Amino acid sequence: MNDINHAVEVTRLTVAYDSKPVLSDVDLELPRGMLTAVMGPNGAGKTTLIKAMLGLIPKVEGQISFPKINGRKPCIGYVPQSESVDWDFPVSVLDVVTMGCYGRLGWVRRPKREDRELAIQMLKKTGMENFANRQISRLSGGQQQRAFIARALAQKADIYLMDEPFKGVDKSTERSIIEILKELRREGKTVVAVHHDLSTVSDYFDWVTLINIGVVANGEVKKVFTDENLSLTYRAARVGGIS
Amino acid sequence: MNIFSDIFSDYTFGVVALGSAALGTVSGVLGSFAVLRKQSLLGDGVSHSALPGVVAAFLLTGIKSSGTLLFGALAAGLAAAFLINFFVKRTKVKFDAALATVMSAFFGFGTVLLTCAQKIPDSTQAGLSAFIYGQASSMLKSDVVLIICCSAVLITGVLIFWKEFKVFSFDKDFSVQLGYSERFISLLLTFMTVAAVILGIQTVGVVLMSAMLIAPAAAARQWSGSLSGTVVLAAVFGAFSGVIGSYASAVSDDLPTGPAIVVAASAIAVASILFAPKRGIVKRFIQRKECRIRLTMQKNSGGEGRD
Repeated sequence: MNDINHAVEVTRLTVAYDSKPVLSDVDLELPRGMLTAVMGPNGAGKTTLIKAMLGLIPKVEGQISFPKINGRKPCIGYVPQSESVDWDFPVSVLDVVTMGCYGRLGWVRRPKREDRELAIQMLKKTGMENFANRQISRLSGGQQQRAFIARALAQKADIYLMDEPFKGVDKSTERSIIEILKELRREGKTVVAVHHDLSTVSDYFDWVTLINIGVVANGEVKKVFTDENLSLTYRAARVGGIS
Repeated sequence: MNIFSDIFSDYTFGVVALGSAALGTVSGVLGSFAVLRKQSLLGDGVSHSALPGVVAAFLLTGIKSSGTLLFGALAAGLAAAFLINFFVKRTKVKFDAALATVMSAFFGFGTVLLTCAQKIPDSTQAGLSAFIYGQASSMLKSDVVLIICCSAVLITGVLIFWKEFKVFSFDKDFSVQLGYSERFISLLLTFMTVAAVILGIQTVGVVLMSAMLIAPAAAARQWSGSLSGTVVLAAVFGAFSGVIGSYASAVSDDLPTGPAIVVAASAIAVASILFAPKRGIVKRFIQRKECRIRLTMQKNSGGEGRD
């Protein structure tokens, strides 16, 4: 089972809030070096899956592992939903992006000049260099999203987990974000993103995971992204559920 | 002018002002994090809950030294903080409800204990009720040393864990994902906030102490857009309120110091909320007016163009 080409392996994952399972018996293997879309209706457990992978929420049972890359533990980058934070917090865009370097610094050590330079470089990549010193409270939705992506890039991760990176952004921002994701793929990085727009899946992603409490389908977009699977995923009755 | 110089060379005033300034500084620093984490009311809950700890410490030991009483207060304050946290995490009770319940239960129990203590014929219990409204004028040199040492430790702690506190306060999930222990940071921050509150209850009193935590921080946030700016300014506002309050209380006969300090801090907060250059109410009102006038003029000139 330990295929070295997997970025993430999830086995028999169950997550519950109170007594209601939000994810039930999820088995997943996501490929390395590809762009994966995680899709499903509201309440299907997409965000929960991402958070469980990151260890941010406790699981009832199951295992999540990130197989080693060239003999070392992969580094994970995270782009949360932008509304998960208070954008009135007194920090600048550069401050936020520099936080991406904190993981490498560990406890107590301060960010150095090279960390800030890296942060500025990442702001350039996301087209945000002119906003470096701007208060985050004065950003638009799309700019907030790009600041979060720049912060994840500053993590210099091997695997990026993104919760709705295209939410609330206009078409041109969406295009610039997808260019960034494609560049990550060229560098051999893995991206797993929660996605909503059915019409762009084939253009943007290589792999798709359809979930609704349980996994409905998981595979290459051209094989799995079928009308049949979509109707199974999005039909009113929940798939999977309590077994 | 004579009164002025007399006051500043007065030994008692010097002690009280120094202690209050240190207190203002440390509560400004930790208050900034409490306010930014939307836990402003935690200080209120902790300070009220400290009362039974103070009285119990006295009843158990019979000693009325600041160290003993504040230790009791710290124990009760921490117990309350963790109880509130426990309710929020393990039950469906929300933060505000948990806080109100725990705080009133502890404060009520403290008042009962205080009544019991006052029934003791011995007069040693006199002065315990000063903890309710604070009694800065009775501050001893040893109290000031204690306040300054504890403040120095707490502020050093904030400086050491600056980066961790910053990312944790802004985006908790992200900080956990980076590998920082949520439990450790949240425990440390809570402990330090409780310690700062407890340090102040003898001076300002359990009822008003939370204002020392919130007012300087809320004022500072109006003026600064950076975390370091907010924290430094909150420390300055806190220290300034401490000195002003002590001064006002020293020059007038009946004015109690604690409430005077809180009034000074609140005045700074109100002025900041009204007049701060970017976020102030007045500035925003003017901006809205200007914007409306400009838009109306544009619309009118556009309308004339079409006619």
